[in-house]
Amino acid sequence: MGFWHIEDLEDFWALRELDKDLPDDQRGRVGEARKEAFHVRRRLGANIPRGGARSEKQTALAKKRYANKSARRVIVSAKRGRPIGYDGDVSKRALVAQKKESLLLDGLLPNRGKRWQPMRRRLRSRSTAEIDVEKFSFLTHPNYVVQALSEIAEAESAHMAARINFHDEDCLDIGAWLVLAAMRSEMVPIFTGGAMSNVVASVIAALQMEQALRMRVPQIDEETQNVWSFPLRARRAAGTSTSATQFLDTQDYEEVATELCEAIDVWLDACVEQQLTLQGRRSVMRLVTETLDNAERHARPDFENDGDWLMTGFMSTAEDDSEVRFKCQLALLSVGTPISKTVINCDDATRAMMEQYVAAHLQSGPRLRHMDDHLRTIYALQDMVSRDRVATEGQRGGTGFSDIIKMFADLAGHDRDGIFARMAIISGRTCLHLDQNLCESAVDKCNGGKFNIWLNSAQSSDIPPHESAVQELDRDFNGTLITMAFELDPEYLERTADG
Amino acid sequence: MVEVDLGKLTSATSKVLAGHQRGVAARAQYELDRLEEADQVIDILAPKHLETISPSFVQGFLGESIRRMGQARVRTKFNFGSLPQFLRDDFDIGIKRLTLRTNSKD
Repeated sequence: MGFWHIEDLEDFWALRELDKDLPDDQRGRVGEARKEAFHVRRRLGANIPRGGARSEKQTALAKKRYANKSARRVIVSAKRGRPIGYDGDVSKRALVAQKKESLLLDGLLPNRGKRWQPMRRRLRSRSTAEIDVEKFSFLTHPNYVVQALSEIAEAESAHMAARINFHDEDCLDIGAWLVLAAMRSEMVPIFTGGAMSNVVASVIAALQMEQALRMRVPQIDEETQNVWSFPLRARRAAGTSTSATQFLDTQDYEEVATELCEAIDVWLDACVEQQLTLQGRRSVMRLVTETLDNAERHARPDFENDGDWLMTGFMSTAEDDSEVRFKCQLALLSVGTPISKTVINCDDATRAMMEQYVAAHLQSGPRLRHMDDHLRTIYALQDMVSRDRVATEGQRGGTGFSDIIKMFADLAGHDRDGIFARMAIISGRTCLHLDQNLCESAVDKCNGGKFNIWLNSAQSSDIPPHESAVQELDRDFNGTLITMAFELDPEYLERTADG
Repeated sequence: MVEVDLGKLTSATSKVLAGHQRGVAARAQYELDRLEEADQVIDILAPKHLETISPSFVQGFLGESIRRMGQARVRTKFNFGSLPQFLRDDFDIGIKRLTLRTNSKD
């Protein structure tokens, strides 16, 4: 387990001798304070400003005095029972920071506008928080993620300083990290560090997400980590397109899709001296472009056809029975209006059929308070359902999700049992879990015709979705995240290329 | 025969042509409405580096043609024979998607 935002501690532990006579409860607190003080001294003493009336030597001495005084204050505060980290470890940027508007944070923290405290008020309370995060995966524990993100949003709104400890040994779902990255740019910088496993740190570093996450993670020898990355990509902010030929220019998502294929080729070449087949490349490119095109078109009704998105992914290898297994994760996020809220703008005929479907199964999830939203989200996955009335009137559109699901079923296909291959669609209060075999059976059933996926084994709209496929989130997720984990089987892809 | 070269829409760094609105914009750029009225076959060309055309692009590009002329006439009006087989497959998939709505009403 390493620490993010905290550099090597060197010989710090020798200082423990100093506190041996303190009572037990105080010793731990003072020990932590000494660590904080060490970093305060290091940070404040690191950069000597140039210029001004004083000589460089005087400036250095003054800087050192200030660093020592600040560090000492942290230790004295701890000895007197005051919380640590409220001034020594908070940057000046945090002290002057203002609240930023954020769709994601507003959803995760109800009444954020009222609950958000200005920094000057926090200086009075000097409260700190420690957040423990585990099972950080929408693919398996969506409400653990939502709970963690909500706690982070709450800390951002009320505390002077906070730490986040990530307890998972592996990166379970890069989608959860992508959401955190999107949130961090809209938060005041009160987070001062925390713990993180070496494996997770290596993934964060490899994906070049440190800046987006505002984390400095421990340096890990990349060669020892079996991580092949597709570094974070993001489209410029929604509604900022100025080109007169916006849709005639090469699109960002087209370049990103092409680059992802090149990255996967590098991954496979490095591991088994193989490359994606033409069919494999086409599947990957269509999966990415259809998803991101959907995001741009539908995520922000206030900026029609100009929404933004973030995307990242990686492959890691694991050896099993002398076989190399290629574990892939891919996540695509668009911030904005949830699917269940945009799809109700579809044409009248589709709306009537959708509401009929909702009414038929509303009672099938008595424990779910937002069953209507879940059912509308499921309905939006079906062919010929689009919020874009113009496209519907022109008898086009409404097939984006079917392409995404088909491509996932194709890419994640395998012959072995017990392989975890799942796609999660998170939007509003809904988290849908689509296992690869469920997607494959839906693709088989449509047989080249109209595609439907009703999330039950019969793939029938007359039957409610399977309980395990629909998870209700405890808070609003203002956006749509498509995240997936699967194992890439180059031989399977090649064998099924014409299938 | 009139040629519509999709190469004008792509750069060398991109091997995919995608996006519904992009298809609609391309249709306007190539003035397909006008070309379709003329008594000529429209030959679709693509650059060699292009590996896939997404169904969403085809739907934006040919949606209006299918609505006005129907699938059979579109297939005679447009010549996809100059394209490699995999791009012809992409146009086929896109056209099938466009006709699904019409067929599902039958």
